[in-house]
Amino acid sequence: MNRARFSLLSIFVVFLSVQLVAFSAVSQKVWPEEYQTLMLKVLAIYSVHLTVILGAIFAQARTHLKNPPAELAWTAILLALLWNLALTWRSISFSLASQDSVRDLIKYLDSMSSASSFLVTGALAFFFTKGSQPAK
Amino acid sequence: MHTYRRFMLSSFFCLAVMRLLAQAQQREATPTSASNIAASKSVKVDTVSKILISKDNPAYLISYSYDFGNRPDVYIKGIGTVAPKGEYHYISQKQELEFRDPVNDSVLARVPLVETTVVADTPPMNEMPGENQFPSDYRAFTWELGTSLQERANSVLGQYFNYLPHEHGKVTFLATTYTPLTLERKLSTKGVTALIALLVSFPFDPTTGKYSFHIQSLVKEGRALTDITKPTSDPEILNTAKLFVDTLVSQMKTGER
Repeated sequence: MNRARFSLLSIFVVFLSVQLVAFSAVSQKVWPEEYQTLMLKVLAIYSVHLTVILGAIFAQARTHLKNPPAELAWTAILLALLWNLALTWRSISFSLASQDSVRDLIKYLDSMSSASSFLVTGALAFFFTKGSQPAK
Repeated sequence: MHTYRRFMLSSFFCLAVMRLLAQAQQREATPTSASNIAASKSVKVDTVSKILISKDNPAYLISYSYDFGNRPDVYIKGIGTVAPKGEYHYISQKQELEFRDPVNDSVLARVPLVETTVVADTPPMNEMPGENQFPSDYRAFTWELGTSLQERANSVLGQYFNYLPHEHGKVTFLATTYTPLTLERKLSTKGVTALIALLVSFPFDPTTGKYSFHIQSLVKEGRALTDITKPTSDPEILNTAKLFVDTLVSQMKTGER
């Protein structure tokens, strides 16, 4: 696995973990069933992208992949950061707030994840499927 | 010639009938009834704004003052018999205010409730539980003061809630909206919140100079990061609610705010 792919995987895993930890930290401030709904919602949102990433990694585990152009790698990393930040800032602000609503948070996560998925879908498809040709 | 005369006569007749009809219609549209004239002098409606007390259940949040001079008391429909001068702020589902003489039941004033603030969007929600949602058990208190319970309840309840007064038979009910309870620190730091709504009803068991009033309370538990509340059986929350009702009754009896 080259550095660009590793960076993308790390970004998704770190931001997912941050959100799961943030929700766990305030699990007492929501009803148990809402806590479960929140955890499942975030996992469901990330599952789409992590399926592509992990699927490609395991499928090409033994092949040596060629490094993509640096400018493409940086663009993909920035877009992935942008998508993850768009979701994570709301989760963090929820966990730090003295009053908020789980219903509003779920509405935000749903709409933001689907509306901004164009930021990462193309990059992930390139880096983990079409563009990941084995090095000759 | 004969036909011409007949035509002229019938035209004049038609014109006269039309004029009479127009005058009658005009009289109907002009508010010149005695009760409305009295209302304009004695009752001053300050605000009427539309709210929702539950989903698809609109009402008005009203405030008004009135002064019926030297009468000993007046009867306000929905509120009961009160002092001849005062001011009220509560929720109403009626289209008008009605003031009557409590002795002979004659109408003193009828004031239509016209919105003073028109909300362009959905009216704000002042959630109020239905009476059937309250637990049937109640706490009874005695009212033996000379002042009217309605007036004291209006000033004290108004500090914490909005309330909807109505009468059923000879009993007056004051159903309140929810208000937050201040919980002990060990609960609030855990993110536990609580709400209380009251149903005050009176008079019961009247004897000379005193009667009892009942307070039913509906207590709900919530969490800081959610808008879902649930009925609670937590003893600490219920105890806080009991203390809140005690404070409220004490304020009503002493008149302190």
